[in-house]
Amino acid sequence: MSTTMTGDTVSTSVGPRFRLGRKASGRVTNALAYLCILIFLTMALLPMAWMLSTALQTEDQIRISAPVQWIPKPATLENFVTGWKADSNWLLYFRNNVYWALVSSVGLVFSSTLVGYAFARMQFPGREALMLLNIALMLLPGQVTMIPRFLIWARVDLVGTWWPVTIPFFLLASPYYVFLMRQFLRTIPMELSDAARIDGCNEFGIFWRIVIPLTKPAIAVLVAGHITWCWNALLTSLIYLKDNQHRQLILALRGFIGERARVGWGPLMAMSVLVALPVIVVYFFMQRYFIQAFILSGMKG
Amino acid sequence: MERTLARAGERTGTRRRQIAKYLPAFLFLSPWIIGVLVFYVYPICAALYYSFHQYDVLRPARWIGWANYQRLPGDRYFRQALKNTLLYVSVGVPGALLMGFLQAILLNVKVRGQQLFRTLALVPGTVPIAAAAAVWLNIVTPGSGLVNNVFRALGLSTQKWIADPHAVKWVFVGMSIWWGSGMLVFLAGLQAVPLELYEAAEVDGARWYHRFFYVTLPMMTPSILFNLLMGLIGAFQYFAFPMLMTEGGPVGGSTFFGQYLYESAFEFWQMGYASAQAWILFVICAIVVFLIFRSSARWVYYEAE
Repeated sequence: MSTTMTGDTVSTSVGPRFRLGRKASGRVTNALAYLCILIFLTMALLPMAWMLSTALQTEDQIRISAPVQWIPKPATLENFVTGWKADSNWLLYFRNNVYWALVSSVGLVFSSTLVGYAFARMQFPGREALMLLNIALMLLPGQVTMIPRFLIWARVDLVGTWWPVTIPFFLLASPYYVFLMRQFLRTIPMELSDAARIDGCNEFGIFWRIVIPLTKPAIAVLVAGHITWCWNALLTSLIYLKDNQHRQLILALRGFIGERARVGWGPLMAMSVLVALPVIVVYFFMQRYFIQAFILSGMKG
Repeated sequence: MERTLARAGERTGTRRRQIAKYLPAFLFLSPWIIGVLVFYVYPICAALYYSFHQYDVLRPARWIGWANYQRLPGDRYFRQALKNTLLYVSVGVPGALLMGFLQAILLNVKVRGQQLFRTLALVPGTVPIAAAAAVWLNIVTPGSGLVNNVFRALGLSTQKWIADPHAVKWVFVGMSIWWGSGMLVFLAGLQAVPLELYEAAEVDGARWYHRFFYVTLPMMTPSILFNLLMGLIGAFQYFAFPMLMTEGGPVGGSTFFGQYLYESAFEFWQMGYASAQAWILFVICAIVVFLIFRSSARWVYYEAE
C-alpha cells in the first residue's frame, strides 16, 4: 500500500482524487477499482483482439474454432497476402485516402486557424452573434445540407473529382473545429499580441509569427481528428468518390464486407487491420494532446 | 448647409475609419462567411425549396406543394426508419453516455498504471468504422459468430442476430452501448472539478457516494449537456454501421433515418422527397435542441466566474 501511495504522489496530475477509502478498506476498494477497469478494458479491446486473432488464423481454424479460439495456432500472415491480392487496387485506395486526408487537412488548418483567430482575438461588431451561429451549425445534422450541396457540385459538373471534397475545407467544413480553435486561441495571453503590435507588427504578422507557432498542439489534434474522419467518411465517399479512381478505403472495405462469403473472414479481418493501422499509429503519437484539447473544447465560453 | 455637409463628411470619415478598423477581422473571417453562406445558408433554404418540388436532377424541378410531406406518413419504409431511429436515440444514446461516464470515472481513479489504461481505452475510438463494422459482423454472424459460439458453449440457444428483422436494430443499439460514447469529454470534465471541493466535502465527513452525488455529478452537468446534445444529433444521423453491416436489412429491420434519406436521394433520385425528409430531420433536431437548452437552466450547473 505504501508503494502505491508514493506512486500516487509521484504521478500526481491535476484532477480529483477518487482515493477510494484508506488503510483497511483501501485495499478492497483498490482491488475493486482494478477489477472494474479490467472489465471495461476487456470490453473495449475485445473486438479488436478478435479482429487481430482472426486475421492471423488459417481459414480452417476460423471455421472449426470450437467454441472460441483466441490464440492463433499456428499464426499465419497468409490472410494479409490473400486479402491484398483479392483486390488489385488496395495500394491506390490507400494512396487516395492519404491524399484526401492531407489536402483537406491543409484546408481545414488554414480555415479554422484564421477564423478561430478572428473569433478569439479580434474585435468586430457581431462577434458574439456569429459565434452563436457557429455553435448552432455544430448542431446541424449534415444530412440537412447534403442534397443542395451535391446539386451545387453537380451543376458545375465536378462530382467524381477531388474538388467537392477538398474545397469546402478551405472555407468552412466543420464549425466544430472553428470552435475548438477559438477555445484554444483564447488561452494564449493577449499580452503577446499587444507587445508585437507595439513593435509594429500587423495583425497577420501577429497571427503568423506569434500565435501560430503556439498553436501546434491544437493543430495536431485537429489533423489527427480529421484524418480519422476521412477514414470514416462513408456518406461523402458514397456521394462524391464512388468511382474506382477516387475510391476510399471505407468503400473498398465495404465491398469486401459485402463479398465476405467469397473473400473469407480471415482476409477480411486482415484488411480491416491494415485499414485501421495508419489511424491507430497517428493517434498513438498524438494522444498526449487529446485530453488537453477536450478540456478546451469544453463547455465554458 | 455647410455645417451639415461637414457633419456628413465627418460621418463618412468615421465610417471609413471604422471599416479600416474592422477590415482585417473580416478578412480573417472571410472563409467562414463564404462557407456559411454557400455550404449552410443556401443549402438549408434550397432544401426547403426542393422539398416542395418533384426533382430527379435530369428534368427541371416541378412544384408539387405539400405532396412530399403528405407522402411521408403513409410510407411504410419511412415509418420504420423513423421508428428504428427513435429507438436508437432514446435507448442507445443514454445507454452509451452512461457507459462513457462509467469509463471516464474508472479512468480517473488514481491507481497504478492509470496512464497505460487511458492509452488503451483510447484505442477503440480510433479504429475506423469499416474495420469495426467488419469485426462486429463476424462477432454477431448468425451461423458461427463469436457470440453464438459462446452461447453454444454455455448451453444457451443460438440467435439469428443480424439475420432477424426484429433483433437487428437491438444489435446496433447494443453495439453503441458496448463502446460507450463521450468518454473523453467526461474525463476532461472530471479533471476540471476543483480538488478543494472534494477536500471540503471530506472534511465535512462526506462519504464517497455523497461526494459523487453532491460534488462530482453537479460539476459534470455541463459535460453531460454537451455530450447529450452531440450524442443526440449524431444518433439522428446514424448511418455508417448499418450501411456497412446490413445495408438496412433484413426487410428494413435496420434501416435508419439517415440511410432512407440517402437512398431516396442518391439511389431513387427523388431529391424533392429526400429534401422533405431532411427538413423533417432539421425540425426534429431543432425541437430536441430547444427543449434540452430550455431544461438545461434547471439541471446544468454553471460556475459563477
